Amino acid sequence: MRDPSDEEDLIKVEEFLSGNVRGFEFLFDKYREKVYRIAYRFVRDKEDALEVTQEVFLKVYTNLAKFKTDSKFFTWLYRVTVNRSIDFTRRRKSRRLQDMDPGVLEAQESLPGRSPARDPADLSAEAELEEKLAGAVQSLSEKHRAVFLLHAMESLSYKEIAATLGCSIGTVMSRLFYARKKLQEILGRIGLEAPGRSKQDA
Amino acid sequence: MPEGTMPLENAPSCSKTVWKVGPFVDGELPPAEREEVASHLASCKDCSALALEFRKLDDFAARDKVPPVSGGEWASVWEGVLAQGDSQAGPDAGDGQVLDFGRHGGLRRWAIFASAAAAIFLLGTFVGWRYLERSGTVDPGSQVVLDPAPSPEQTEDDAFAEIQDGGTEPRIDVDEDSQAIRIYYKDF
Repeated sequence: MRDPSDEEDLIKVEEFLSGNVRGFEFLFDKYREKVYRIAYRFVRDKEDALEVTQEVFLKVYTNLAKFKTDSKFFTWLYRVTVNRSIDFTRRRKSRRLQDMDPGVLEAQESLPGRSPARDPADLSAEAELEEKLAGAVQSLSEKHRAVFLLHAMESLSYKEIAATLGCSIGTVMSRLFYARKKLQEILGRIGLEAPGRSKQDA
Repeated sequence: MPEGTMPLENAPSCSKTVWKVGPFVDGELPPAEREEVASHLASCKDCSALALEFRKLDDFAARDKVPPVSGGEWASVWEGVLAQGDSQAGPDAGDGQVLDFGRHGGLRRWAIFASAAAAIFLLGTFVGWRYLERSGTVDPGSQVVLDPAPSPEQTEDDAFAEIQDGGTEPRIDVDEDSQAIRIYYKDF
């Protein structure tokens, strides 16, 4: 039995496919924040995240007829979002390599919102740790980064992550374990430890 | 004995439990397995420290801030979608397919195949050359200079596959009915 939210999505999809753009507008308003947040986790820049968001919804706009209604709309949408975000980071990386002028790279790094960008001396300890963690997450492979971001930052369940990434729950577990161990190692190597509860519940 | 625990001698070992620490922290284990892991963590400092570290990481990652977007910015995104969407004719390539981290997997496979073929050719040439040299057909003093064959680029996909095949990452299967987790790992 479908979740009411999933049913609502399918109704809006049908509405759009029968020619009413309000159906698509509803889906845009409902999911734009979520898509933007996921994109931001990958690209770490507001303008880039908005660009990716626009690309995602454009893809949905032009490809909604291909969406299979036996699956959940949001799963398909998140899949497109992760794919486009990863594509964007690859394109950006490729552009940066082409612009090897140190002056250009330095100017790009100094744009607000980019990570890593700010002088750590200007940041509070917590903000510095956030920057370091963001950097550490960016250093993970795409597979592991995607799983960690979707779980830790977007609170998706293993089942939702598996559906989004098109893999098994076991694979999600394995990749998440590896990602966490790797982050632990990186943060330990740079002398940082994530603040948290002082006593364990286990 | 307190509820939710089991005798120490029955608690599973670290090697069997460590892979379940993550799902335990995330609340993704079925009740029976959760009890097993909880019993282990009660007596194992290493695994309980690992659980704590995982919680810390997750808690901290969840605090990562995302810059807010104004109504005007959203309106701009929406207008961009409509403008480009209406101007595009016909279906696009679409990427709602299953996530493929190696989007150029086909190209990569051909690159690996071509590299392997080049390596075999070079090896065959070398062996043939040595054979001819020994048989006196080729002047041992002559030199053949070959461009080094490009080594296949080991991608994340290949590295990951390599790790899965013989490395430290386990294969984890989840039984659909009981949700029980079976872990196959390399015994060190």
